[in-house]
Amino acid sequence: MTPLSWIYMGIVWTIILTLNVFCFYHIFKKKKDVSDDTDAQE
Amino acid sequence: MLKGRGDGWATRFGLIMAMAGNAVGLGNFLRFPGKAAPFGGAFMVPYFITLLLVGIPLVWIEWTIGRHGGGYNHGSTPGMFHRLWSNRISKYLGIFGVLIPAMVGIYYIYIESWSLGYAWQTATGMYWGKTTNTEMGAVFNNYLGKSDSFFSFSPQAYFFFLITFALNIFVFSRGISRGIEIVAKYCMPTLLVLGTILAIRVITLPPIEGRTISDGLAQIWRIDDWSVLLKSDIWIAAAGQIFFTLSVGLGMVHTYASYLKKHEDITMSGLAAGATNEFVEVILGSTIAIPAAVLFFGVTQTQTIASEGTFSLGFFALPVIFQQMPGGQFFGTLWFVLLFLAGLTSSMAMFTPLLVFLEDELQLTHRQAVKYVGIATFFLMQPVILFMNHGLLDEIDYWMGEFGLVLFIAIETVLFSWIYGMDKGWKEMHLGADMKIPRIFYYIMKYVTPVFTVGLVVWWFFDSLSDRILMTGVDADSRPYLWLARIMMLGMAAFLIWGVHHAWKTHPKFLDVAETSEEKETP
Repeated sequence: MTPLSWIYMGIVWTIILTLNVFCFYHIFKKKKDVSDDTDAQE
Repeated sequence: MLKGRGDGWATRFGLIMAMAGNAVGLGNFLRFPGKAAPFGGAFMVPYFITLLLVGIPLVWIEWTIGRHGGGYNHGSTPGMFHRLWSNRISKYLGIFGVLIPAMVGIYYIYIESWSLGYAWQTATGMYWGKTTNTEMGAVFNNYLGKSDSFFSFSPQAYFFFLITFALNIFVFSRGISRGIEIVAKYCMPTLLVLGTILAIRVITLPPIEGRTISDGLAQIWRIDDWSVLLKSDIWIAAAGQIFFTLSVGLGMVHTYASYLKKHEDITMSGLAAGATNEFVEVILGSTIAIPAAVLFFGVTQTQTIASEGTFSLGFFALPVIFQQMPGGQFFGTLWFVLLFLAGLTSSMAMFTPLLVFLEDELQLTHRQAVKYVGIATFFLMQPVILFMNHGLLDEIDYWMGEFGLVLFIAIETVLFSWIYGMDKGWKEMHLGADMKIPRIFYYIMKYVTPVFTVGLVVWWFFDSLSDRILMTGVDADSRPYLWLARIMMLGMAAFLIWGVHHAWKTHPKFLDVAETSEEKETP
């Protein structure tokens, strides 16, 4: 692996991991918000 | 419960895991390294371009078509396409979305069962001592019962096939929330853990004869020759891999999405499922098979192994490697269990469009649908198993898993982006959306995705389709078996054509068939 290859792989991995964190953070955050709202109504 | 119609998804996490599980399959761990390695690092360039321009847009398009059709109680693409385009031909075009996954499922379950059989063989050390690729090739042929005889049959392979088939039928019979969702919720995290353990094990392997894991990773990530990007092969291979890995063009995403309600998010959920699949394929899939093979065999031999076919790497080379690795029996068993779980989460989606078609359009009960699908597919699987020697499986794979899939994608993108209209499609996609899709994707979905996919079908037509139709170069002995495969596919297609014709004549929901897509707003 050349330094450029490591950088290329690092960028791609970072993008994919960030995308996963972004999606699941929002999905679980929304789920928590919904359950908090439900608790408050009760 | 997320319940658009009938049975439904109990949780959003369950839905995303099922969608991701549908996408994560044998292709992520076997097909992807096999496709990438022969091209070196250059493969990843067209891979990411087609992912962005075609793959991700298609995911959103299919989720949208599915949820839209589900609003009319359609769980399969004949009805969904009918609601997008009121032309009488549209429902018949939708047949591909039921036919393709069912026919792919007929051979996929058998392949999935090999992983289970090999997990057993590895755990018990049955092939231990066979330390060359040639010897492992013989073990593989022996496992499948491949020989010069008329039938290819082995009691051991058949036993594991029966277990796998029964497991799939059991999951179908429990429906979406109590079957598919539960399996996905447990299997997907397990698969991620197993994949991570194996990837860490491979990355931490010590150098062998001067070769390091870095040399293996270079096969995926180092671009030595940019000129290969000018060849059509690499683009076709990358596009095919993207379609296959995201499980688009198979009608399964549509069916899963049809259980969503009109205002439930699909943009974020679709992206999450796609991102999970890419994590498994690009990060885990690229870190296990190829780097390990390069470390033990060197670059040249790895490229040869990868170009020999999808199974050479996973079923010949890796078992050889596991035998030379510390703790190899344990990690080898994990590898095949991982493959089995990846296969299971995909195969359980493959017959769902057919089951739902029988229930929604032909008004069968769930129990009846499971019974008929179980019996019919079991009988259709027998020629695939028994005549594997004669290319029957490859013939079905070509017409359904390769050409049919691309054709169906071209049809659905044209239907959605041009006939239904991208303005309406974009609006429909964003109903209840948790994320606004960047506007540039509007233009990509409107122009790039359909032009690319139609172009691919046209290229295919001129490049090799006539040779395949006429069986050019196929020896006379194999032709009857290829015809048998074609009769099986045409038989299933004929049944579906009859089913659509019958449903549209008899089902009460089609008696107001004059309804067009403009009248859709109140499902």
